[in-house]
Amino acid sequence: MPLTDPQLAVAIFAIAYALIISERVHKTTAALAGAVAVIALKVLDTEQAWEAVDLNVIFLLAGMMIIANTTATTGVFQWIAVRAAKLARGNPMGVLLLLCAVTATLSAFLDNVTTVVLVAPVTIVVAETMGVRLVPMLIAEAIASNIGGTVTLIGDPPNILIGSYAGLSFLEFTTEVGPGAVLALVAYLAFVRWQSRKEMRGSAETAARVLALEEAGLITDPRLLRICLGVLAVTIAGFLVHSTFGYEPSAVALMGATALLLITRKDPHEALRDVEWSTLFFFVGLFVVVQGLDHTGVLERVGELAADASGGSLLTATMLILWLSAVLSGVIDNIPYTATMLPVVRTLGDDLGGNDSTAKVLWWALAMGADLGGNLTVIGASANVLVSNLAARAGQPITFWEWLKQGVPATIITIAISALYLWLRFLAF
Amino acid sequence: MPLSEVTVSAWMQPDVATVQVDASVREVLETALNTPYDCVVVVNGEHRPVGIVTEGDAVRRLLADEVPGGSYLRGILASPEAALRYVQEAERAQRNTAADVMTAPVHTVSPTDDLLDVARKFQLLDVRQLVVVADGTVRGIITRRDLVRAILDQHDRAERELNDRGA
Repeated sequence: MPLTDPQLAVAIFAIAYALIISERVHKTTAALAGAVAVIALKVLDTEQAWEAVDLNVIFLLAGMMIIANTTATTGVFQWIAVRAAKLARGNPMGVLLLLCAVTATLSAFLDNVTTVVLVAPVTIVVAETMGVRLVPMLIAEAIASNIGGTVTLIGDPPNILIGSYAGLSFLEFTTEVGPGAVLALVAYLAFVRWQSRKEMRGSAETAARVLALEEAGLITDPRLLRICLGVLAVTIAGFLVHSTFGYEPSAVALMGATALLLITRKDPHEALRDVEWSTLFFFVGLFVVVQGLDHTGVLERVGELAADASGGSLLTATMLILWLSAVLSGVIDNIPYTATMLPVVRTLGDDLGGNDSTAKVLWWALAMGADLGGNLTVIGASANVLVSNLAARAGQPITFWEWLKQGVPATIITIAISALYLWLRFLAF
Repeated sequence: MPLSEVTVSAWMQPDVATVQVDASVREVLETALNTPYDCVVVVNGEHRPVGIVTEGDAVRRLLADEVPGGSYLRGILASPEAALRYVQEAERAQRNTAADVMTAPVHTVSPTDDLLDVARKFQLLDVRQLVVVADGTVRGIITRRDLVRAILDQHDRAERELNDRGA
């Protein structure tokens, strides 16, 4: 082979990445092609390749997909969204802020894209009823869902990746990162309130039309809903205590999904159709490609360079990771970015402190940066792309620059709050 | 007198409601609700008939304008695409005028036509009313009910004549 293993690993990674960014090839296909190339060119042998696939992540995603999609069929999320609009008394600003809060809360437990898909129909109808522009509402909801997803271990794939790699429990992650993310959300909503103060105005007539919406008939299956809520409650409780009982989050998620299948006697075919296999296989391919980089020592080297760049200071390293992650994951998919950074941050942590608990702040910085950076551009997060597609279908397409007008302030505000939070809580004293 | 010798002018209703072709659908609905004849004739600037909106059309339009609930709302909120379709329909509906909801062309008769022809027209066209037009402008309508009243009236007259002759 004219190329060394590390060079091969980098080449495969770069090509796969380029394919993903260019969108010429579906990202799952690109990731799998990369994985296959890694094996074929013997950067890893087959056993090493499969060992790299973190099944904890895969099954956690699959389990939550089943629970979330089954719950969605009951119509409860639409019900919640309409109730929120009526709670705001049909006042456009109140409706916008409440819908954003609902989106953020839901996406702390469910996939961000699913959350936006669930809240979008109500947003569309309510925007038309109130006579306000739809697109600003959708953008705010996508951003809110990305921020909300930062709060818990299961809210956003980067968090899941980090939690599994670094052996962090749901409770630990949520209590260390959660408060910062909540503060970021509050700050963002305050910004939205200020920014749309002129536009989100309604009248008594439009308010009355919103209040006239009848949400009662939206729940299609009350019995199934009770079961789903019960399973969700127990699953979330399970997440809170999983480490005490020695279970990984993936086990908890699967227990929840299986309980749901058992109790409802749902045909597994139907339930498993809800699982986004394309996403899961994307992760499989990604794990192998990144392991190729890690195994050949490339990422360790990057970590050492980062340690040098931060001059041995944990504060510098933290801020470096936070802001760099924000910018990078704004332009590239935050999942491959995070997966690649995992070994880098581990090396960085080892080089800088050796002390487990202080080096954890690096994980929090990576999580917050990768999650919140997704708000920067319209391609930064899948929820953004979804909203962009919806806007195009509604005849009000969002250009790259138009999103930047929302994304840049949102990212700056939330990352600044995160930086302040991380510094005050973990580094200042 | 046979029907072929009774003219439209004797039985038509001259006070039919009309709206301009560029009137909003809301205006059409309001007019339709206030007319006793279950229909509104759509006319152009010169009061020439261009179409007709019947009660059925009006009711359907009204329903579409209502703020939805229950299973109707569920269908709209089923997916973002469904919600977008509903909103686009609603927006299009708001821009609609009488021209968008009327049935055209409208079938007409003249005041001097006889009721036998009118009866055949009703049967052939399967409508409930015909617009009466003279010199190109709308003068009124004649409905199936008017035809029935005319037939009954002819029957009563014929009976009276028979009785008179008999007596």
